[in-house]
Amino acid sequence: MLAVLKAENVSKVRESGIFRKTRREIFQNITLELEEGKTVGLMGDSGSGKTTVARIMAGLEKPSAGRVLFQGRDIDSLHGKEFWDYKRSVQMVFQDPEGSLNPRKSIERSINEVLGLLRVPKREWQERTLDILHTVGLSEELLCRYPGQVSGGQNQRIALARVLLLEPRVMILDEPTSALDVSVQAHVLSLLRELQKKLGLGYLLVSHQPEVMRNMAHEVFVLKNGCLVESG
Amino acid sequence: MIPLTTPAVPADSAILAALAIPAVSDIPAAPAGPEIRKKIQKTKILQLSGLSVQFETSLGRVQAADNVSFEIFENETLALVGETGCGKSVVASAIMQLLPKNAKSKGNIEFGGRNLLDLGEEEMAGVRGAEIAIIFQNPSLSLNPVVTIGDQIAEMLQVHGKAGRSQSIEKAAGVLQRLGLGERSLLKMYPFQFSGGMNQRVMIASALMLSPRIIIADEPTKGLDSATAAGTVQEMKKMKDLSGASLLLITHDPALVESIADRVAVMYCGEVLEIGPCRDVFQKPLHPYTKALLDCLPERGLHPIPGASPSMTNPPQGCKFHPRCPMRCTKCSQSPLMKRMKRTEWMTQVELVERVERTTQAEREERTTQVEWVERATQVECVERMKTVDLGTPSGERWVKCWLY
Repeated sequence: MLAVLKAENVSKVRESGIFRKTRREIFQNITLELEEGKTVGLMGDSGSGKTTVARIMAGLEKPSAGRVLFQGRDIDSLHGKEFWDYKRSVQMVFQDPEGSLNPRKSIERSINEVLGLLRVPKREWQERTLDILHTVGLSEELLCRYPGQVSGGQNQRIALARVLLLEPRVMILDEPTSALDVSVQAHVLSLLRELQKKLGLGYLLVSHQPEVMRNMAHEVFVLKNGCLVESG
Repeated sequence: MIPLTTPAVPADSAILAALAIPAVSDIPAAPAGPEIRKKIQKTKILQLSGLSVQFETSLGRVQAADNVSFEIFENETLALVGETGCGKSVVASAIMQLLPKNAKSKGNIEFGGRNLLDLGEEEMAGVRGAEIAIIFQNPSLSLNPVVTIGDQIAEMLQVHGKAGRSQSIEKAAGVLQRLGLGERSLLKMYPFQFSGGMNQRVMIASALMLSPRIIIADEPTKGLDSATAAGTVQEMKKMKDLSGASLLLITHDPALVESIADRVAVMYCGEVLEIGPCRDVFQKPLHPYTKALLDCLPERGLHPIPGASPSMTNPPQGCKFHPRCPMRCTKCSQSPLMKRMKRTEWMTQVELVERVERTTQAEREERTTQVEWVERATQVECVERMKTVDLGTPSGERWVKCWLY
């Protein structure tokens, strides 16, 4: 089966300094495949480049070498509708739930923003919003609140709801629970598992907790000294 | 609902007598090793009894701590565990008398023969840092960014008038060295030049400067990645051994508790629901909330607790966990009392609860008589087994606040 998203021999080099350039290789020759309905785990110490791999796969950063393929095509060569398709199918959830929402917009406006971008007719907005809140297990009374007024776990679920509205096929989860309590972490992770079963989503889960990986991932890669060490 | 609590003590001994099985107290206790003897000698250094803290806010009255009672013994680590917002940090602030102005505290915090709640600001300043030290959550934010590390640690001695500047900086260098930051040049650096883990060690060093008797660590690993967190835990252990102080560890992470604490107190919605030796609590949690919290851990299967934490302004009546509790009964709408459990007693009770848990709520209501039978059978079995199995040395009392027991 053709992987939805594939990183092929991707390397990243960071350059710093203005006059004298110093080059630092973060990682090299990384190959990862994401399929629908599967969770791929990516582990590593802090500073090992886990997040950079995730950002490259989401198209937020360009690799120094190698390429990222979406349904077999290089994402750099995608244009127009195809590019829109890629952007929509591959979504990212960030570590800091509060930071990924605009603090000056109410939750309802944050969700409506996505619906507006999707050109959903206004009369359907309310229905869609309630529907998606139900999916992530939140009550509608949260809609009028602001991100600062709800808890971390709820914010993370709102971020998830926004992403799910786009009907992605693959989600890139960058330490989705490391800022949360153990009990809230269990809530969010079991929600992610349920969504995977229901919608057949593929995940790239970045985390530093081996226990989380054991519970969530079908396949785990460990990033160490810039190389991938695979484990089952 | 099942009369789980009714046939507690009298029925217990009656059944055992009828079955000609020696009562629990007749079973010879495990030989008193040096560990036990040491524990008996332990003295209480801090005792909280009935501590309640209320906040007057625009949303209403918030009961952040409700009748919190526990004690800390000499040279032990007590962990206070619970979800965010359950009032753990409020308890720490109440002990240090660092509560905001809109807080009202009631109860007793006995330390060194005095009630800390009665002390004035000046007397309290003498206790803070010198006798009870606190390590705050975010090390990078708790340090002053424009004062060098050396001066910040040495400040403790100078403020309390124990030493001059050069002497205190010498001592600061000594303490830092013991924590693995030996280089002299580090003393002249600023907090923002340090990593999170190094800043945490600076916080630990300044807490150690005056050799306090109690160190309160408020979420010491929050915001640190797992490798740094593991390092910090090692530092904390080292710190405790170095200073001989007691440690009150406040955290939401049961995994951290398991690696470092002697005893655990589990908090929920401002109340302490269970206190006991760490090993026992983790192996056989008594309170349904403790069990649910431990089941959230990834290594125990990531089972979330149903529902959300109740609001602190309008908490549920009776047992505060009962709306989310899988074992709730009609009695739970009244407040349970804290009950001390004997080791033999909780062993039997836990097995009983585990058996009852397997049956559904409806089944349970139908089969009251059967449950009673199960109860008797379990008690007998457990006593039988205790005769053969070495239970190990008991390492402390267990208290639980639940109608099940």
